[in-house]
Amino acid sequence: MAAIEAAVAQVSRVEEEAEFTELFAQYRLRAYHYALQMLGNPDDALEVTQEAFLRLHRHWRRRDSTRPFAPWMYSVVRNLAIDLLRKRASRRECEIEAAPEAAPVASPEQDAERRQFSERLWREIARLPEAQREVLLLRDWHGLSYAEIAEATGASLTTVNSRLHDARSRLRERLRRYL
Amino acid sequence: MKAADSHEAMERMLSAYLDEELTQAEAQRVELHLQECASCRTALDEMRRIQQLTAQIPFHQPPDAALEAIEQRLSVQAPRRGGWALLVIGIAAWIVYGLVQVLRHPRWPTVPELIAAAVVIGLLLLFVSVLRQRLLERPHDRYRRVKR
Ligand SMILES: [Zn+2]
Repeated sequence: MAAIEAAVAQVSRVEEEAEFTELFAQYRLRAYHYALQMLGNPDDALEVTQEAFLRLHRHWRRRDSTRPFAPWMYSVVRNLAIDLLRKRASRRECEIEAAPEAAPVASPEQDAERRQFSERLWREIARLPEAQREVLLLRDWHGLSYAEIAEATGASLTTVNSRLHDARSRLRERLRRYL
Repeated sequence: MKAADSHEAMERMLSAYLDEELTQAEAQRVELHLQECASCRTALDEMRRIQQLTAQIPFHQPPDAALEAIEQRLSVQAPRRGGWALLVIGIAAWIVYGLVQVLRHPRWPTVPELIAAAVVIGLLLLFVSVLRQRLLERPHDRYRRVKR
């Protein structure tokens, strides 16, 4: 009896593992890029990505499967990145500011003008207050809905809405003549 | 519906309008206002442009090997957890079984029973020590960095 139960449990475990592996393949780059945008350093971003997926994996079998994966994943990455930023600040290892290292890489499809604008845009995004920057990136770069952003960041829908409005107003002000 | 929504109120809704996060009634109010307010039309265009351009900012791609290493760690984590679960269940079953036997037929244990008991107790001690180590290491391990 116990052996049969254990075998059944093992089969369902294998299925769940396959599901998780698929989600990892689907979301790993998003997790990495979000961490990179928050931390500005590729090594730190990789470290946070790894820790985030190990953590998601550990809680995978006890998850609430009715809720979508993306906001959960983003919130885990976010919390780990914030911990790291805090730790860095307390160690005074480097300044907390969206590091320019994370900034646009040259992409072959972009012409020079486009690339220049990308860099300018990123510099302005990096200068936004952290709360506004994260909401803007989650919406405009990662394509999350307001509800998903609210869940990932723990903010209310109203807050998400007004932070986005503020972020966009500021960017318009700073970039108007280039638009 | 009121005759005229204020420019200020409508302007604040543009961002959510762009993202299609307004109710249908709200969206209609914004659209009505847009027809007669050039300043809001410009604002909306600029926000849309910022949105499109933000989506296209290219970022550094991680090396494939680094992502594969993470996948590797995930796949190592899975069977290990399965193994631990089976081990815990097995040890618990042995202990319960042993206790029941002793209570039902109190007598001196045979040699094979003593050997089995030694194995179970040994595993239990190993398990407790690993658990302790894990708990102690936790705060340090959590932020361990890859390089530097
Ligand atoms: Zn207006």
